[in-house]
Amino acid sequence: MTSRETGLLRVEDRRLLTGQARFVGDIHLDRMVHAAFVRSPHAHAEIETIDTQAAAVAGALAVVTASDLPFINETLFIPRWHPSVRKVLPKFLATDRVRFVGEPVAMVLAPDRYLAEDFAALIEVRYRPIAPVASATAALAPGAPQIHAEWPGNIAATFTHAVGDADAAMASAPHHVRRTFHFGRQTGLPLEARGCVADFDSSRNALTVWTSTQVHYAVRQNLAMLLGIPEYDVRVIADDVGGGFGTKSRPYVEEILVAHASRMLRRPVSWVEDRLENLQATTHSRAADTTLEIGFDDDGRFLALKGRVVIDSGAYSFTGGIITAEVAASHAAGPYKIPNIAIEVVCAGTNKTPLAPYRGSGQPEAAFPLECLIDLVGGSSGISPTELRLRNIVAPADLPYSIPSSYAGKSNIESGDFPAMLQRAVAASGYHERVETDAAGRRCAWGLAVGLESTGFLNYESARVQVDTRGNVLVYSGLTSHGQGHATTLARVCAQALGVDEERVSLRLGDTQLLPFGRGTFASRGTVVGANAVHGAALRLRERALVYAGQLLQSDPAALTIEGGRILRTNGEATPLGLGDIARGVLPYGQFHEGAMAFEETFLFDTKNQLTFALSVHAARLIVEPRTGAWHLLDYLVVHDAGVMLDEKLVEGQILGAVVDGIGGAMLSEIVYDAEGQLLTGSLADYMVATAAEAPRIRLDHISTLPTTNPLRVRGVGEGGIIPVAPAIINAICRALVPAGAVPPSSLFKLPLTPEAVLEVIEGLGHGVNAQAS
Amino acid sequence: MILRCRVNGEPVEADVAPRLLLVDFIRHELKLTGTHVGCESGICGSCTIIVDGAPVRSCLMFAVQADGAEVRTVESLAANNVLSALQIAFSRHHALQCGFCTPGILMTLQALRERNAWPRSEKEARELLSGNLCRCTGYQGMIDAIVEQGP
Amino acid sequence: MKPAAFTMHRPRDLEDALALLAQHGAEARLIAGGQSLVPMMNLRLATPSVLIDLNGVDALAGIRRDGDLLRIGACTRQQTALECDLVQKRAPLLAAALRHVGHYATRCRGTIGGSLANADPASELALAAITLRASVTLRDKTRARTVAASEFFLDTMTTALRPDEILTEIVLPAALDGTKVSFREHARRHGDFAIVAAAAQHSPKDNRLSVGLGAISTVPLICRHIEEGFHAEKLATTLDTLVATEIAGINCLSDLRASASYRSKLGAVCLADCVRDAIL
Repeated sequence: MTSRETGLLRVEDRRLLTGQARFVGDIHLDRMVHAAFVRSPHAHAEIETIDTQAAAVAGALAVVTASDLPFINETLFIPRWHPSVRKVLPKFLATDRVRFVGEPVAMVLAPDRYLAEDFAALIEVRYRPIAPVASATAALAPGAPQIHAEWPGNIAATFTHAVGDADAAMASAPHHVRRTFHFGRQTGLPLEARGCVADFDSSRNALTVWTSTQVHYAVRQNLAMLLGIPEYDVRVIADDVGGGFGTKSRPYVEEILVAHASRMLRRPVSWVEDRLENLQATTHSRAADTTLEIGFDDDGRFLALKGRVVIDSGAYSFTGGIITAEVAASHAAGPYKIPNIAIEVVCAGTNKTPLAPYRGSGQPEAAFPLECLIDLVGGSSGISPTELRLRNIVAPADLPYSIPSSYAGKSNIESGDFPAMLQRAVAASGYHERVETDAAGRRCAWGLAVGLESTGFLNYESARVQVDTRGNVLVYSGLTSHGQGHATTLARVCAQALGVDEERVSLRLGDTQLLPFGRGTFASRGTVVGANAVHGAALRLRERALVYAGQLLQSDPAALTIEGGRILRTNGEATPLGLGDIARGVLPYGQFHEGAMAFEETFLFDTKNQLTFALSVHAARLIVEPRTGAWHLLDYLVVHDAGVMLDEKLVEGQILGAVVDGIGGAMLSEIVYDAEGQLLTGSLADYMVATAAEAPRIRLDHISTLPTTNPLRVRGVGEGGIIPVAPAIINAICRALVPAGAVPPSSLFKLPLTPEAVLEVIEGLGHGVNAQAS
Repeated sequence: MILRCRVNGEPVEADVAPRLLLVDFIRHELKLTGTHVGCESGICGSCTIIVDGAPVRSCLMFAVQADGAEVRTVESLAANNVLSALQIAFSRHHALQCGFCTPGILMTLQALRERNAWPRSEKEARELLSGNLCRCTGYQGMIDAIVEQGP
Repeated sequence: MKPAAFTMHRPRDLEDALALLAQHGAEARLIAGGQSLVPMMNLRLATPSVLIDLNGVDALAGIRRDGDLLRIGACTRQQTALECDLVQKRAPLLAAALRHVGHYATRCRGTIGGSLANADPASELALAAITLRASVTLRDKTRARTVAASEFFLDTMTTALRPDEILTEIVLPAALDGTKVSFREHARRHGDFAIVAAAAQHSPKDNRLSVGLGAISTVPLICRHIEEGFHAEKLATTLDTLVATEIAGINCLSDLRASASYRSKLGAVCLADCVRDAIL
């Protein structure tokens, strides 16, 4: 039973505020030992020998290399890959070759992490370096070193997303604008790095793993499969998780290795990733070079969209395959009606950390080129970019509007008023298309961008709702939580559907033992699938409760309702019954007993593979100092449509966090490798993210149209806030600096956009910039 | 090396290796796991605690350097399990999501409060908070809580 | 990332500290605030086998006025110095520089002497020290010597400190009444390492202008052209030219934060703004 403290927003808050949370690094088990990894210092090398003797002599409890692993020739499970992916998964530990700095080569076990690192330093690996492939361009050049035999030409995957006939439509379009865009390599950087504790109970042949993950069931599946343990004997728990942002949305080799070590040693094993490892070996993202071309007519109507996206994919395909590439291609046209599309995607293999989703997962990569290109079309056509957007954006009259995607089949935009949101954003923000210059010569302008977010991806999520004889309600969900507050919102959903007070609902999630099936939290699906699963279970339980109550009260169930856990007549009259009484009736010895062991419902929510789309419109006002190129945000507005908001404050928190993440991505964040494939940004001093000082106060404005894709009529909100941030900012900078009629240099379309780059642009534009008055 | 100090008002005595970081001593010897490790380079601020009245990065101190010191961690904020005004304000303003950065920020603010250095404006609050990274919230709820609590 | 093993000594007085340093030589590192050293040790980029902890040597901390001079103990915490009335009144340029050093929590532990001895090219305190014509006292077991700040910083992370010496004190001239200062820094984010920094102090009483430029090269630099230009009362009309001359003579650093070319442009803007600020 939970007691909702007055004044607290979420049930999670008390333990997080008082230091009572349980992140994996907080777990202490008897006889627990610690793992550290020897990781490749080379981007590309053959392994000649590994000498572990010195480490063993010095007292390492165990040293594990590839040849010690019974499952070395197997791979993590591949749920679904794009057909064009040339399968090469990471090895659990490197066998003959290493292909990125940070690739794990050996695992050392010791009584504590300090000693584990001492022993790791004693392991001698002899490498024979091979010429590394340090960029996508280098990867695709003829004669480049080949990273994998399975990737001829260093192409990990290549495909084209096509709708209509883009070649013909482009050829016949009266006008074109075509530009190149560079989205630097970035990473989700949760504040809690990865980690896991594995406890193999040899007396029962059962494995428990606590892991900082978004996808506990996938981890369980892999542990069971690779270690040869029945799934029901593997329990994976994602207790408190300190942020995921996509970086924890895949199983990793370390989780399997740590569990293997626990079984081998018959002791619990803990591994906590440090920040250097996190930057080296936790998946990266973005890293997309896009050439995009729009063909349009005299009225600014978009006729065709053609593009080529080259993604610097790193050294292996992770288990999600090329999902960010698929999403980027599928959403290349965003929320606009463009009947002819051809996006060619090339995933280039390089000697770098592999790629996987990071907040937005391909949607920011698509929105950046598209939304900047639309502003450029505005510049070249003389039609204002806002007007262009209004003329082309999917409007209510166009619904349902089909968005085909390679990763999710065909889904419809079936609700929403996008033109209204655009107009509202312009009005509410004060957005205008003028440039203002202050007395000190600083230039100030607004930029606008739109982002279409696909939410509720990956079908099926589970829930169980159970009522005990006292009327307490227990909810199990197949989701995980890493800050979203699902324990609070899903309990509320249950309370509202069932007719009980929220305080009487206790919710558990993040544990594969709760439900036989689940998926987890990623791709902005928690509310759409998770909350609807709880809703479905609660509604069914309510229905059954009213049928039983009707029998007891000799009343038509339709004349009864449940409020505050009590059965009431719909005219407001009380009855002697509460939900607890119904539960007692259903259990053994109860008058309704028909074999049930609990008064409960289990529900699997089915999205019918329909995505739920959400739009947001962002307006950013910023100021540029022409003498230094430095820029910062003065004002920022988001108009958002989340459908029904289960908790307005929590919805806003998701948007605010995502926007600030995106500001950092536009301004600061870049994973940098040198020409030898050495990671130069190996600490938080070098890989920079936004602090409180970089973020302006962000204004939020909501409209609410109701989707028809799910009973609760919610839209996911986890990623929408980041999708249009970069183009909103770049559009503002372009407007501030580039005189009307001039062509913005391509160096402006490069993320992150540093002051140094901006200064170069200003100098290149030279006289024109200084002459431009407000 | 012998270490004698007070942690959250309780005397502590331990024999520890010189290289044991204070944050690891707190987390793994004392099992006070509310203080978190985010970077081990003093940048993210999630390890911030109060030592002799000053906010410090516990990942950049060796435990033995706390000999003779008064050490306070996030576990000390809710006296008798009653949440402090700041903790409640953080919750109400949704200043935390995953909670990993939260203890470091609470202890930074607690120290500022005790040292009469509470930020006097939103601008000052943002500058002061810039020493603590958060990836979830976008900081706005924290700023609201700080401004509401006032100097 | 956990540090490699070492033995720790925690002397209570300076003599013991110096004796330990002499005894252990190159095997030993001094630790004061640890804000620069411990991150390196955690990454095992620094692996001293002996650490000599100066935090227990009370004699090394403290700020006092000594006639025309201010004496600041090397182990004085940065935040303590920033909050000190004497520093704010008689070393306002140092106070201005301190506001840009790291963040509140790192200043509560980091020391004045530690930052100087570390000699990061971007060190704000190093820049303030040379601009103020400060000097540092270096002691070994047998003697003390005074080195002008401008001669103390030799190269990136390299100073005139000998292996058996401890930097014990910073000595700087007390600012006269009416002194105006300006400290300006450009960094990617608030509190980050400076890309370029400029410091200027104008003392109307004796009509002296002191100017320095930091983070732009391996060591902070005194801007002698500008100082002499001021002295010759040419500054108002020739500042931009003098700034250009200063910058042209500097071999600018190039790193992940900024290229040499950008540092030189930014340096010119930063320097000019700083000087104008101080003399207006």
